[in-house]
Amino acid sequence: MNFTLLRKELSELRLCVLLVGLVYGMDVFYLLGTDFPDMPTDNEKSAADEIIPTLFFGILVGITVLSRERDQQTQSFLDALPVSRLGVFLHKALAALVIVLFERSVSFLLGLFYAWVSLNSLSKPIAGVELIAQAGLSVLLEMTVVGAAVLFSFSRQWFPLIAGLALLTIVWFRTTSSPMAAWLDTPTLLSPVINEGILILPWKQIGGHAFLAVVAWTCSAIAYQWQDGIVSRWMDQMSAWKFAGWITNIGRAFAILVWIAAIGFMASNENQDSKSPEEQAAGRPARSGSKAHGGSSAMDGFAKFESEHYELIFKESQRETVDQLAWSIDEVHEQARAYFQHPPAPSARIVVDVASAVSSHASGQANWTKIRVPLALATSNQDFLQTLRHETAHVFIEQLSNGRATDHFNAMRMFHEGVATAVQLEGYGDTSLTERQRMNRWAAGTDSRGRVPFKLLCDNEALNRERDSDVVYPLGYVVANALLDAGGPTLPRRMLEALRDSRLPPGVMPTELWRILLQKCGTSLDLVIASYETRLDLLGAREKTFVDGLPRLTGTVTVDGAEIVIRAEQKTSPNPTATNPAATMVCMVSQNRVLDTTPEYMPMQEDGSFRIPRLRVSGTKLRYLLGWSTADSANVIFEPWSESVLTNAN
Amino acid sequence: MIFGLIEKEWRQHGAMILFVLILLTTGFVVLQNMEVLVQYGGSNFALLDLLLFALLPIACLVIGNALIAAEFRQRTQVFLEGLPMPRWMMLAVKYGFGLVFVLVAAGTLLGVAFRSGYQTEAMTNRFALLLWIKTVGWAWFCWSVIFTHAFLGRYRIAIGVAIVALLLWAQQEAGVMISRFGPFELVSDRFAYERFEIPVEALWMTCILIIVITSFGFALGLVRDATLATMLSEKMSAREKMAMTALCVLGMVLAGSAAERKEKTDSLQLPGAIDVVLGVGNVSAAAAVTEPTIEETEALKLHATAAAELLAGAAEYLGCKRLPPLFMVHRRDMETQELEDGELSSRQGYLIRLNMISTHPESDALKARVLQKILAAHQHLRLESDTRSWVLQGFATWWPLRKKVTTPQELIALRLHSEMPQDITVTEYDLLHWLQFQKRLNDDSLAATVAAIGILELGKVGSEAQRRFLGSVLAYEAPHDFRAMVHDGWYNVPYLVRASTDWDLSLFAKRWTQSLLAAPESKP
Repeated sequence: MNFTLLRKELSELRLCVLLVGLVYGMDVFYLLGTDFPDMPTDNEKSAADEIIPTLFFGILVGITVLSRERDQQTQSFLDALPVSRLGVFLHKALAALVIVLFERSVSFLLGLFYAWVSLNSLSKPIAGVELIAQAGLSVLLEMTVVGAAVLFSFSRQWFPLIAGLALLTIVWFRTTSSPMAAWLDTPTLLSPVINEGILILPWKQIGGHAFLAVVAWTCSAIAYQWQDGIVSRWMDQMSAWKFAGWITNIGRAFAILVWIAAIGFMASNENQDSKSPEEQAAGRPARSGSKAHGGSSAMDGFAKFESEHYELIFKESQRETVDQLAWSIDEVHEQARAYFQHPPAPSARIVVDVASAVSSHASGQANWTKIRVPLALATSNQDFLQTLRHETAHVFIEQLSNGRATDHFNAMRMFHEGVATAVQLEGYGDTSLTERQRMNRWAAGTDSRGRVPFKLLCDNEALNRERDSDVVYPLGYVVANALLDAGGPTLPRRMLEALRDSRLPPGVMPTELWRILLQKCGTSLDLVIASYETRLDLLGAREKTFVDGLPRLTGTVTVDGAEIVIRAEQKTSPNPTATNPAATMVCMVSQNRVLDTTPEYMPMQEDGSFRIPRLRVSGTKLRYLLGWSTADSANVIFEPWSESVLTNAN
Repeated sequence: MIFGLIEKEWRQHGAMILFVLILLTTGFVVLQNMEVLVQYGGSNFALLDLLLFALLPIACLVIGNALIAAEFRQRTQVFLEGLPMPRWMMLAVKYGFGLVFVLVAAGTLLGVAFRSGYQTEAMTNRFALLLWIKTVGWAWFCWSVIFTHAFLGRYRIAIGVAIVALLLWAQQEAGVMISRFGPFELVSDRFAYERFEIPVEALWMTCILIIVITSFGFALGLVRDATLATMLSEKMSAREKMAMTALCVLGMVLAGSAAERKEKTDSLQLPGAIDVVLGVGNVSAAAAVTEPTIEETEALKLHATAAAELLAGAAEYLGCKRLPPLFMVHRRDMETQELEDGELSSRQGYLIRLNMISTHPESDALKARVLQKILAAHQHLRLESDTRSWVLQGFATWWPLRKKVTTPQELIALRLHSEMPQDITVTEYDLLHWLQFQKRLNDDSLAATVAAIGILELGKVGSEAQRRFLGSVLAYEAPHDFRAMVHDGWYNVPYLVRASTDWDLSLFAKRWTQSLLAAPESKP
């Protein structure tokens, strides 16, 4: 090893070192200026949080390794040294490794320091082995990124485009059902697990990333050494082309397109979202007795129907069903309007698209003044009208709040869904009464699985971490009724108007937002909470028999060869004979897709277990929901989320 | 001459412009094929909105870079300045050329959206006009910004990043509704759905911004015979790059820090509350019922007064200049002595829920809870640490009982610990790891009694020393940053015990243990 050369290469990378110091220094400065590092925090840092700095510094180091030599035209001096090109390259790689180790060490030591100063006598000891393993794996990841960036840096101004295409390829590869896709699961790479004192390393992902790193570094070494840098000379010639300038500009624009496509690709998923409403209806396990009606063919033409308040867009094949519904849809609008104490109707007709698809696990969707309620997903005309009433309520909520209910989606989702559910069930007749009872049973059943405190209910992100995200429908419905108790039938509308007119404090927390709104309406959050809890207690007492028929469930997870097996066990019921014979067990599994966290239903096997191919779950942990599906409840009553470590041993 | 200039720009950049147009249209098609986006937005115009918001500014950036920034960087504008026409006209041609391209690009995208969504969008003339106005307004605004931005030369990336970061921060952290402001309102989330209302205010604001920003751009391009723009377009040195990066990061940190320190809460007002202010004690009591009975109203008054007296007395003893407000909420559905914390941040104060009819205002448990939580909120919960929580618990337990008890025996008797273990010992280690000690006892009430016996033990040195110690731990008004951490490290509990009593912590623990061991024997 030539230490002079290594020192020179390190000095070439000193800007990266400075930037590392700057970024982490600012991080420390910010923390000290705004918080107490010595107090335990609830915000656990996940392995995925490490990916962004790793990528950032990896790319920075990677593009600096060779580019400075090229920019300053000092490569010829290196060629004059009595060191082979391969030798020079190895020193450059070693210098990059030193910088990566430095950056990762700073990150690791800071994390360790924060963990240490915030320890108290009740804290779990710092999982040193796990942290060291994670740091080591992040070094592997960063070296992979550096290797790829070095390789792509040969493309010079085309770097963003090539890097984007590489990302797109990896993202596309992950969405294929290829068993190899799991090898490139980066979050799993950074999530070593300690199970019963034994460190479980993600060997498959280590292998995948190490392979990529070796390939990238080897290719870079070959490109650097090949005929004394012929690749660079080619690029010089290309840069001298007449149209090189604008090709570069277009390349940059195209790169942005590729990056957007890559991110969009991450959002796409391979199941229900790409299906037509009819296919969605066929594949949906949600409601018992579900049967699509008003089906259509792909070759249909579109038609419109205008009522006083709605403009229906449908396919010609749905005309018969639409004709049956047409006379009653304005009544739906009036019912929703009556709930909000007759505000002015939206200036233009509400557009109702009954032919287009909606997101999976949804019966309808509303965006400002456009509603989508696929006829194919409705079980009956009454069901369609209920969904339309629900979505019309969303439109009113958005209109009355001037769109600010969506701006504060995290805090207001429960309001949105709860009030819309209340409006949905405002219809007349026995059917609606039964639906109300089913909704109440859903609420009582959910409550029997552990009370969801109001604070959690109005923080959608926190709620989704602990419970099925759909609990906002039944519990929001209870809250909607509690609002009426606290402030009378005008309160929902007054809250929305207060939301529209208020200047809320920056970064307002969900509970605080509710408190402010209710305060502006002359009532108090405590009044609503008191009513919410009282109503849940009453529901629990009223629906005791129903709830007792659905014993609590626990699951055991085993890895059986290529399959993960979840077996649900009933906790002892107070009265085993009271178990509801019509109820069936349901299981949902969290998906690890990058931008799609919608859980996926698992079909029950003949032996009563739920099975999922091991390859479908790329991580070392499985999150799942177990619950009961019964016609007596509006939807499945789920236990809170469970998590299990996946090892061949269990 | 003007046509000659336009022809020059077209010949120089025409191919690229066409390519960018193709790219934008391709981008639209790519978006239209993303099922998740299509289903989420439910409209072709939602995709157009996304494209206008995300990609059109980038297309403008590419054109702005080619038309202006590159011209000044390569100093080829010198050739243009030699032409027999004023400099402003040269800039106006570039501005107009770029504007036409941007409007054509936006119009093409709108046309594609119209074409593909003609049947499924329930089109009306008014809706089409609205879409057109918004698209043109936004496109013009984007080009004006990028035109001006291109004159910033080597600082344009840093300034661009800073502006985008500032807008994001203002929207997400500072509570400023950027998405509801002027040009951003035009391409907000209701772009694709609003079919009636013309955004007059947003359009006016956009027009004003376009005029102001464009004027600024022309000023940059014309000032001092365009030497400023030429100077700015020179390449940045490595040190300048580092300094710019540092400045950007520092600016963001300082802005974030300032926002974090700003109060993120409104003051709390309970409707129909009875407010009592006594010294620094500020209590607000209300009933969580729509129509409180006379009995309940009376209970609110009693509770508020008792709590205010408690807080005022304790604050005076400790030397607190300020205390966070206390909010008490009456709940009919709660049991006697059932106490529940509300969801308030320490900056807002402390909220407690209880049944004020069945819980007596002079209840020792209630007083202890209120005192403990208010003092904890006063220091942003830092008193609930391993080394300080025994002081907090001990004082909160002892203070309401101070006139009734002088010995540990009396304290235990009053606290109803008939089954108190006889072998409780307190060591120096326990005083530094109180949370663990409390968990070991497995009874919070018992731990509080033990802590209060410690406070009684301190009193044996003298009431002034006891007051000094308690005041030095509990009266500190902690800022919400590292200074509180440094303060607590510097004025640590062993130091404060020694400074107030001349005992070291182990001696204090020994005396405390003796008190504890002696206490149960003489229990009543």
